[in-house]
Amino acid sequence: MPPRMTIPTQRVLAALLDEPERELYGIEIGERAELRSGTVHPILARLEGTGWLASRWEDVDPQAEGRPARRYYRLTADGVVAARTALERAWRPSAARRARPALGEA
Amino acid sequence: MNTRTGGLARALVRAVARGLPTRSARARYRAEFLADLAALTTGAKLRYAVGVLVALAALRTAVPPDRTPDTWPLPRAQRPFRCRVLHRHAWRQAETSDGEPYRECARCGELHPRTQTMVGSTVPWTPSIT
Repeated sequence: MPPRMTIPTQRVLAALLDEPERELYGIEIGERAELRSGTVHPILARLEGTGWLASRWEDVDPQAEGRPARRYYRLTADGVVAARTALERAWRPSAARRARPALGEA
Repeated sequence: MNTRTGGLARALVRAVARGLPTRSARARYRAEFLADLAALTTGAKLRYAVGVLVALAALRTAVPPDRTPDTWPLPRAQRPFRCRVLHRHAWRQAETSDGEPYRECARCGELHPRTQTMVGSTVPWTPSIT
């Protein structure tokens, strides 16, 4: 079942599609998508549930790094294709909007 | 002051993680939120923690239930209202461990009525079932 294409979901997908091969953690995704801090995780969880997104723990030694390991996210191969299609569909104006004359035209 | 704000933010995200429905989700998001907090400046930590709190209800809905044979599909009494009473399931495609496709409800684990006759049969899968 594809996720609901809300505006925040579209922004998250667009942010991930900028560099689909790059892994990003929650805060980076939130910043790129220009979403309010801390609000990106429900969207990521939904996308992960549909198989568009995969995540993994960063492979670092927290003692050596001086910070906890981060959870990194990246679009799956299927997710890249599905996200591009979904965004194109979401950004395409509806038939009704296309048919509506512009101001001053009618 | 900075330490106190950071401590408050950490306490808040820990409390939020405790509100998640499954043990695995609680452990995962507690660690994830704390790791995110560690990357932020003091003022941003509190904003992040408040954002996480605001998004808790949405995250609770988005987190998949634990899927062990004991817990999935959910017992009837624990199923969401939409599934238990309205019988409005959120069908999605899944696969068995040996690659057999089937459809189940993402919220409660109920098998799609057609799946029950299809698993193990030679009828080709039709993903258009909703």
